[in-house]
Amino acid sequence: MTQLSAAISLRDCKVEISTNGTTWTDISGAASSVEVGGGDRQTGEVYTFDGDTALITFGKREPLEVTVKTVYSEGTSEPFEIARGAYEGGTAFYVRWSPRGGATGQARYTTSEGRVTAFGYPVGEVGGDPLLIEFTVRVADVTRSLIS
Amino acid sequence: MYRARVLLWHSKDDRYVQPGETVDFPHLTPEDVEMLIRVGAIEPIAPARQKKQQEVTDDTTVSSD
Repeated sequence: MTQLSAAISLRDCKVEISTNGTTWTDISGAASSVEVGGGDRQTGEVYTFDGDTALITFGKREPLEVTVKTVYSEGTSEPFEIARGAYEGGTAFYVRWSPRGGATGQARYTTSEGRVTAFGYPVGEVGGDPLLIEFTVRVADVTRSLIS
Repeated sequence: MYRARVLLWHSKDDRYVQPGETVDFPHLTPEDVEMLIRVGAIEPIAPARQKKQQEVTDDTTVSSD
């Protein structure tokens, strides 16, 4: 295979959050990382007296946990307050992100409806670094689409 | 008109377009549409119809002579 010439970094990633899946707030100016964990497909295994390897069966995919790290700020339309409201209220929450920036033809990853299951209040030690917080959204799946 | 080959997010209609669905992109530039074709996201289905219409027009011209 010829070496790819289109490798990208996350420098232009666009990150958005929503409480209804329709109206989105662009938090690219505050978010500093997006991570996805979980989602493993369940498996089972058994060894029998005959043979040397396991019999393996496969089940469903486990939920995903999307964790967003953002700069702490106190505006009501800024990520900390939006996520705090959804966390404390136990209400719907969505995340979507476009690694290349979200222009036409670029991929976007959108969570299904989830809940903020972990939320970081603004704490830490004295210092000069910007105060960051993070929250985790637990969802059933993430959908990839191309923006058109 | 175009046929989606992958799952698309239609920015103008604010909805997903499923693979195989027929769709138009009045909000995109010809360059953007061309790029979507190039990356395999969509395929044009209108040209064949236009060609058929052109053949009908040609036949009509011959008949009237």
